[in-house]
Amino acid sequence: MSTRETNEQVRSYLRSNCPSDLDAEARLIAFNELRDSAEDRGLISSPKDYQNRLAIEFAIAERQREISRENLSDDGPETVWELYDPNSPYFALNDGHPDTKTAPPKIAKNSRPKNWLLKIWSLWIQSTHRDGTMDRIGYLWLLADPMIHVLIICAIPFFLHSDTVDDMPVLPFGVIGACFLMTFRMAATGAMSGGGALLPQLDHPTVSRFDVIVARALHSLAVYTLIGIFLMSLIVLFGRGDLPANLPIVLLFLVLNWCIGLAYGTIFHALIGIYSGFRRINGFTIRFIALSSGTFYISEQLPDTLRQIVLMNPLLHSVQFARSYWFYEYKSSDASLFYLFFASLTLIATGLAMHMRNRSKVENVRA
Amino acid sequence: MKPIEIQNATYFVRNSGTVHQILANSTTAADPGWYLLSGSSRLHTIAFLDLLCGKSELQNGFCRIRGNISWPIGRMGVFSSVVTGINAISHFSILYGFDRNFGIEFVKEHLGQYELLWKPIVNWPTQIKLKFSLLLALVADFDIYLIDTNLAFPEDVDFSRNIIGLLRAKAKAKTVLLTPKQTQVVKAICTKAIVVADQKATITDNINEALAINNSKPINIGSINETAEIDADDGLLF
Repeated sequence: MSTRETNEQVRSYLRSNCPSDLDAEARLIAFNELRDSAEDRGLISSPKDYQNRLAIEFAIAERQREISRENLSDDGPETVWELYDPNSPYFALNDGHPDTKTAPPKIAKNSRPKNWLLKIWSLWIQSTHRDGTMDRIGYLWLLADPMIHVLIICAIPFFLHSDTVDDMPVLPFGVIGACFLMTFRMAATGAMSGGGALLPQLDHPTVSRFDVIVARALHSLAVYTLIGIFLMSLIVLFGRGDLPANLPIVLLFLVLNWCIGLAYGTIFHALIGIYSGFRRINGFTIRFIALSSGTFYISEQLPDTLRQIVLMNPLLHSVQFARSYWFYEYKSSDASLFYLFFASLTLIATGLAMHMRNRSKVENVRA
Repeated sequence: MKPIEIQNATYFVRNSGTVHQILANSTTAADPGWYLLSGSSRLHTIAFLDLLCGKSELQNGFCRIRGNISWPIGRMGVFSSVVTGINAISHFSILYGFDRNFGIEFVKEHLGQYELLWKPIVNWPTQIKLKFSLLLALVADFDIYLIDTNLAFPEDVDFSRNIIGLLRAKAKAKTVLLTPKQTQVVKAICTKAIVVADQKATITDNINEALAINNSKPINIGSINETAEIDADDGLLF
């Protein structure tokens, strides 16, 4: 059968099976059924059948145009170009051009904190949807993956200690350390990516780079808070630990810990923009921070020389404060509130300054 | 008070590892009106839109935008493609401060295949995505519209007629920048042109001349490799 005959046959088939009153989705289904049927009959099964494929696609396009013409109201133009033809009665600008009057431009309104929080929330939802649809059970992985990380990290204190660490039950001890470490680390990673999956959102004039960095990093705070609460509830339920002495303060330290991670990531994002080799340096720095964060030990157990070194890490102070406010049995003698806040403020101020400095860097333009 | 004002602007962008200078000590200001945005290459057009919507910043000088400016309508990156149309409307309503329910009703009324709104955008036909993008821009209230897409859809005359009618009503006496995707449309609709070429942004009344300059010195635009940025995490626990 020649291509022209195939085309004629398909057109007559479509005229009878795809009437103009079908809605668009039903029409698409009818077209897909036609393609499937052609494939089943071996008309378009091999690459050599491209002529048949072309004939079918051409007939489908022709039918689409016919339906479009049939559905047009009587007083409308036949083609869209008549809307832009000054000689056509349907010329869209017949009653004057829209820029004939000039109006003074308005000044954009300042965003309020509530609007900003809503915007961050909305961006975070977009980012979560994107992560959650990476595979079929993506939403499950959003929680399962970090949960497995936390459980693996929790296993390490089991090898190092017996049932308790300075009278603290080892299981909740490990969960607090792991959740704090991972919150810091993932916040830093999110900030370091400069927004990652949310980068295209920068096309919105109402969204700044800072917004996408915060929204991306927010994921770690939300996920590890949820996982921490879930695991601690299980621990309390099974009698492996007690309820916290002061939960709000513990959560406050977790948020501060997240801010430190965010600031650290922002600093390295700016540094990597200046010289990409800082990415390698970050690899070592973040491991040193992890090992000195007190995830597996408390500083009071360490020899003096080592203790002086690990106490330089603000993360250690926040972890030890969190444990002090969770457990009744433990009060950290090494952690310093003054040092923690001083170090945090310094990091946050440096992060913001580097972010501002980084704003006018030469940007990549995407196609 | 002009809606777009650029003074002593020096502007570089990077593309496929090469740095290009788009503006060199350039000064211009645009009154409200409907402009064709023409660049000597597509890179110039995209970079200029990036500058106006705040995605990129000048290395020197300043770019002042007075009023609310839209995103470059037609860019699909603004839709996180995995979300549904309804989710996207909610997101845009938060970003641009319009009523979510009104947005849904408006889009349902004009989109035609409104049942698609409950399906992920990634599965939509490209034409529907473009129509959706235009409709969302018309729900929000902007003083400056950046349009980087078709306004005329040959396969859907009714929609094309509606959209131009709505845009004319909404953007009356405001500023519209239109990239030359459809020559016939921009010739009919634009009265002035912003030309970004030879490291300068200039305004001209000669649309034909601006169209001749458009993409006259094409630059091969590479897509940026974001994996290095996204995968900052190396997957190790410590």
